[in-house]
Amino acid sequence: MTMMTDTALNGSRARAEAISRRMRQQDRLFFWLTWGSATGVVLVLLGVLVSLLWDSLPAFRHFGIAFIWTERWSPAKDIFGALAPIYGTLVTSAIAMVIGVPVSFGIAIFLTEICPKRLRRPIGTAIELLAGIPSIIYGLWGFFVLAPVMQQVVQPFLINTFGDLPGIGILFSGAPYGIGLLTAGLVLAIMILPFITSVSRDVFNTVPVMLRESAYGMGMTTWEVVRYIIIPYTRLGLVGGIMVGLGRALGETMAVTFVIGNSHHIRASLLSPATTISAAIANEFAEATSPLYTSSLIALGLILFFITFSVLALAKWLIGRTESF
Amino acid sequence: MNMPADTQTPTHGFDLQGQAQTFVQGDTERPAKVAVKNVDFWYQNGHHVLKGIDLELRDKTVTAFIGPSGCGKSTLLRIFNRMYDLYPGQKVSGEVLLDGRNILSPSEDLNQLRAKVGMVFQKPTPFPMSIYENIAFGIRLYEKISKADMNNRVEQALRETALWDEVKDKLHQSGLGLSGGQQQRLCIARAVAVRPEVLLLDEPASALDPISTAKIEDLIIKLANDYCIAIVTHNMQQAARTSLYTAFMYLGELVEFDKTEKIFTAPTQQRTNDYVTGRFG
Repeated sequence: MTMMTDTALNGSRARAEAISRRMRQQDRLFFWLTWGSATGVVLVLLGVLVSLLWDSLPAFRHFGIAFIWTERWSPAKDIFGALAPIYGTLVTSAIAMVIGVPVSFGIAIFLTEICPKRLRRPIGTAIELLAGIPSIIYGLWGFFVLAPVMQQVVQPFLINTFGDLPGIGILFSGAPYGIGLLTAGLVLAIMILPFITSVSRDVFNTVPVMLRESAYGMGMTTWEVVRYIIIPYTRLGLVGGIMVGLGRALGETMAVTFVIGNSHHIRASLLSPATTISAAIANEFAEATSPLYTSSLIALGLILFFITFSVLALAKWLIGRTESF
Repeated sequence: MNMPADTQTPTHGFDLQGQAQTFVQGDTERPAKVAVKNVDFWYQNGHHVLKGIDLELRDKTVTAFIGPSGCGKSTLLRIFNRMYDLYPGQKVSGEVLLDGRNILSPSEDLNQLRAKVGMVFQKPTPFPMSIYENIAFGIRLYEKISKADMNNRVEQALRETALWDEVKDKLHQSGLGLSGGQQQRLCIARAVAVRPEVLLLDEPASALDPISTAKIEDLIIKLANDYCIAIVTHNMQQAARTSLYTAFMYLGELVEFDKTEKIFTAPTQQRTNDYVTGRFG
């Protein structure tokens, strides 16, 4: 009898042991899977950085650090400089921000403060759908629809209105090509709109109900509440949203390639054709025959990597600060 | 309403042992400042939260609203400055007369109304600006005054709320850097700085420690010399200590409204008695 019980007891103990061993193994496997995924991302990022550094080395070795501030880009003579693409990237992004940020804030304020509840969802969804349109579509639309309008209507108007003014006149001089910095900036503005709108809408929603009510309770108008309470309260989060949009504007390739004009010359006029880092790479990679040409394009990529990375890091830092506000 | 026609000085507040306290609210019965007439209120979802409320708030007097959560006392307070207007779909009927004028009328200018009827909330809500600006901002909404006058008004508001000595050296620092009790007094200072006629306090001390609470209560009693004050509170002692009149509400109805002393010592309704003695709610 005692024997029987012992055997039975041993049997169940062994089964329990087996089950718990299997559970330990499962957990271990789970640990390594998640750990591997997480570190894999970091490795890929490092790999991209290392290969960019490695492949851009010939260009930097040949042209030195002056590569960054040389404008000349002459594939025929194997002379390359990054200044024109850097300039185009920064200027198109700046135009996109100048147009896109106020409009995005306006939409976000409308959605959170003014819009009747039942319209919030449809309008919000429509804005988010903008983010889902592939950038090649924006490029096609920019080239076939927006550029002709720019050429025939907007740019002649700008040239006639501002072209003769001292100072800013130079920004609106030259012939109306349709394509160029301004058109690219406009397309980018539309593309970044949904991103900035959704971030700013989210941060506007973090304003405590009681703070809003006490502002209205002082007798403030909606404009005063937005201007003096909501925007100051969410300031850092809004900057974070702007940075997210800026990061996207800096790196956008396809849509810009269509409408930028792809010219490696720096001209003061916003109406003139130019190029950006990503447009130059996309446009010229196939015809980059010499090793130096390829390396120069990769060096452009490295520069963009650093610009975008710093913008995103700044955004992360600012958003983190808002949360601890 | 049963108002004893005593000629002696009515004391304002008393402790729960029925001992009259030393502070004095006013020397005579004050005229009605706000008259609530047959007010009903519905939320967007059709929930009927206030049912046939009738009462009067006397000028330069504290009136306390007590009752279990969800009884409608905060909702009633938010009718006095039409805060409910921020939320379309909420519906009100009846009349609320401020000095005889119906503020529920659609033609009422809400910004003007809210300048006259200030509100302080459960939690301190300093605006994201300096201590000085927190107060100056509200004044500037309605008055154009010189820098010197503004400095005086800010100082006066901070003195009225016993905050001046604590903040006079850091007027231009953020209001968010103050302690919770100081922030709440800043919010009261901000509300009185625009010289309102009515002050609505929605559980103004519920997020504060006992010392800050005591300061707020002293302040409320002091402010009653100048303003018509309505305070919502869950704290029986607070209602007893600060108010001259108390309204007990239950499930959207005004069960009993009388002198605070009477509500706490000899209520006529069984439910009032049960609530103030802590038997429910």
